[in-house]
Amino acid sequence: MKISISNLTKYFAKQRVLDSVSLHLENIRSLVLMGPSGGGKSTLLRLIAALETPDAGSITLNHSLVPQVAAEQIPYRRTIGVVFQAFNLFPHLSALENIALPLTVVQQRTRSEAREIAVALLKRFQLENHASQKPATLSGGQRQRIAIARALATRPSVLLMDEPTSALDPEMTSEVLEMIQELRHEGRDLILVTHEAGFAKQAADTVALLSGGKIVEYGTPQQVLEAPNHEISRSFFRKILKY
Amino acid sequence: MQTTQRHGLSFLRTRPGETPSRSALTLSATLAALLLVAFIAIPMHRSGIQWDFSGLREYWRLYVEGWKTTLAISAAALALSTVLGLLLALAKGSPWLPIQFLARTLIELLRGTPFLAQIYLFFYILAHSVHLENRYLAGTLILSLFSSAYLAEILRAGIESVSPSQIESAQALGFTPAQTYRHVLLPQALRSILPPLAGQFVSLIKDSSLLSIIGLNELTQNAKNVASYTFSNFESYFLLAAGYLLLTLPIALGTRWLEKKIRYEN
Amino acid sequence: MKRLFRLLCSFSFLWLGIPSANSRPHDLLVVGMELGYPPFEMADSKGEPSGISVDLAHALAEFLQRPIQILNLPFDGLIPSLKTGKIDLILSSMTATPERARAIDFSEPYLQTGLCLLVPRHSPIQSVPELNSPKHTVAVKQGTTGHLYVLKNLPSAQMLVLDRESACVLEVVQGKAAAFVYDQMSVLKHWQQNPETTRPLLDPFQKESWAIGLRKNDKALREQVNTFLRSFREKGGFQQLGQRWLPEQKALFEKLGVPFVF
Repeated sequence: MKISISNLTKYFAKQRVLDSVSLHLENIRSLVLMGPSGGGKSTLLRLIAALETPDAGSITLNHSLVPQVAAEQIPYRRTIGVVFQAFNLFPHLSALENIALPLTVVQQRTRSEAREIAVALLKRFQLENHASQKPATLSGGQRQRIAIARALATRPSVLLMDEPTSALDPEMTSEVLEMIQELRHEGRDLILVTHEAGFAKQAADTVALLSGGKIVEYGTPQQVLEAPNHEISRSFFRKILKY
Repeated sequence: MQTTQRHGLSFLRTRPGETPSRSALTLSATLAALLLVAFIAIPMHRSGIQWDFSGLREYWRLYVEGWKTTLAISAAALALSTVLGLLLALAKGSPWLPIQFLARTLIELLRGTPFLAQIYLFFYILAHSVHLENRYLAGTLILSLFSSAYLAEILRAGIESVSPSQIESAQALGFTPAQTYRHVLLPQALRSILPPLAGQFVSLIKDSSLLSIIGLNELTQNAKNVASYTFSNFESYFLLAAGYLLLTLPIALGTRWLEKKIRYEN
Repeated sequence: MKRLFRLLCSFSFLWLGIPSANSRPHDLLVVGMELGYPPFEMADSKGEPSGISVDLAHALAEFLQRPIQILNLPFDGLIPSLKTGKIDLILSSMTATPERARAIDFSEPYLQTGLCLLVPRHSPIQSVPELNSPKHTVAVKQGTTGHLYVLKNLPSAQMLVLDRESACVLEVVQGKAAAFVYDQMSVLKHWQQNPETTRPLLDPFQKESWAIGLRKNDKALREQVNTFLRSFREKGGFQQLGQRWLPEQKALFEKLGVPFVF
């Protein structure tokens, strides 16, 4: 995966959330974004996913520019998989239907094709027993794993995840992290926003710390997490690693 | 189904997670029915009014014809008002300001003025000016318009009650706005607004009775006519009420069934 | 104030089921009429009842030396209200018909009129039998003698029954109805108000007389009302009413050679 962020700036109602951020990385499989709340990491992820439009600057992902015009953003989003913190799944559809829906709507596959792909995905992640259940009857961990499966259904080039385990208890958290680790070993390209420092150490090729709308520090997990250079990084990790 | 042993009258109370016993259900239903009957029958008896349905017998055909006409008008207006209501709801949420304002004005006018006035103004002025003289068509149209304003607001409330993160999920999957409405927003919105939706359908059926003022031969008009031929106002209106109940009860029951079906699935 | 209090009392008794005729103070005379039929029954600018029938009611009250109250009720609710004792008399330009006489009693007639037609200006219709065809829509007001006439005598016509007189006239004005069957005085008035779009056929095809409605077997009151009507006529009371409220119409009738109502 190659990602190139140039002078990216984003305002939300006069608040500068991203301040001329620049980052150039190549030949990495997974990028983890960390930092205090309001620091800009979620916003950066959403800009990469073309769910928001920057006020200045640009992003290039794997040699193509992330579009900034609405008409181009919709087809672009179909090549990216996104998983949010919570309420991802459509509550009125079963797990299987959730996964099959983008296949029929966005890829215009037939229903039987979509079903096949969905069932295969569920099997792969040991979720086939829950195929006909609606999200309300599933645990948080199961829901997130199905959400990830849904994001993978259309074979995106990159998978983006915004704090996928923050709303889960420790047991479900490890359930989901295991799945992400699996994906990583398969060779999936991932961009992840998380608080889980331990996981970041294992799963990330590069960790970037965002605070106050800027990239404070970036590098390998060993560099950033164990021997941070910046005072901001140091105090952040001290806080989150305290308990 | 579990039935636990209860003491005294507490068997008449429901507890979460338990289904009530059959004896509790029958007893309660009978009591409620008796009370209602008493509430109606005692004043009726005391009023000294002699109830005499015999005068209405020769006009039974008018009731049946009127009922059928009401059914036809209500069904047509139900369908049309749902389509119009959806259009209005979408228009009100449109990012294009002129469309939004047009929808808002139309909704406020239709909801904020008496239906009676709307019928007169529509039929004798608007429809007349475009040479729409067929009163059944005009009546069904204005009934549909009137109801659509209420439906639009109900639909809008339903759409807005869907969590914005649902819209985001759909967007992230690359859905167009139309696809988002169709597959994500509307199915969820409809589930949450089932009770007020049913309520509006029932209102529509009853509101159709006002169309009698432009001479449509529906149930209310015919009942009024029979009342004036026979001077049996009470008897005629009693049958009128029964006729409408026949139309509205299926909707109430149907909704309960639908709600149960959806809830169970969830 | 006292009258209002008495009235409230009588209403509360009605709720408890005791017929109000027994509990209301004996001398209040409640007269029912539909205030929507100028110049006989209408409301003035303050909303107070006024018109020929109102004047007649007050004259009756004076004659009987009883306080009077006028209740504004829809026309086809008058007979039920009389039967249940909500009112004592109906004085609302009501035609005495055999059907109505089955439900209530009538005084002697106080006015002679009849059913006439109001047709669109350029309509070829000249007489009532022409209307008896499915291609003609005939407008009538709910519960009136016109309504009953069309029901009985024009079975092939499309009968359009409306609540309001003004709606019936509008139907004729807009050409939606071939004719409006109503009483002579009103047809005349409506033609005067819509000369460009309507035409009256003023010779009555069904003669009618108006009378005051009373409860069945209320013999004493009936006698009193009849006595009043006779004396009122002798004293020229009706002439005065005609002069006061219908001077133009009186003159027009004389000119057309149609006998005037009083």
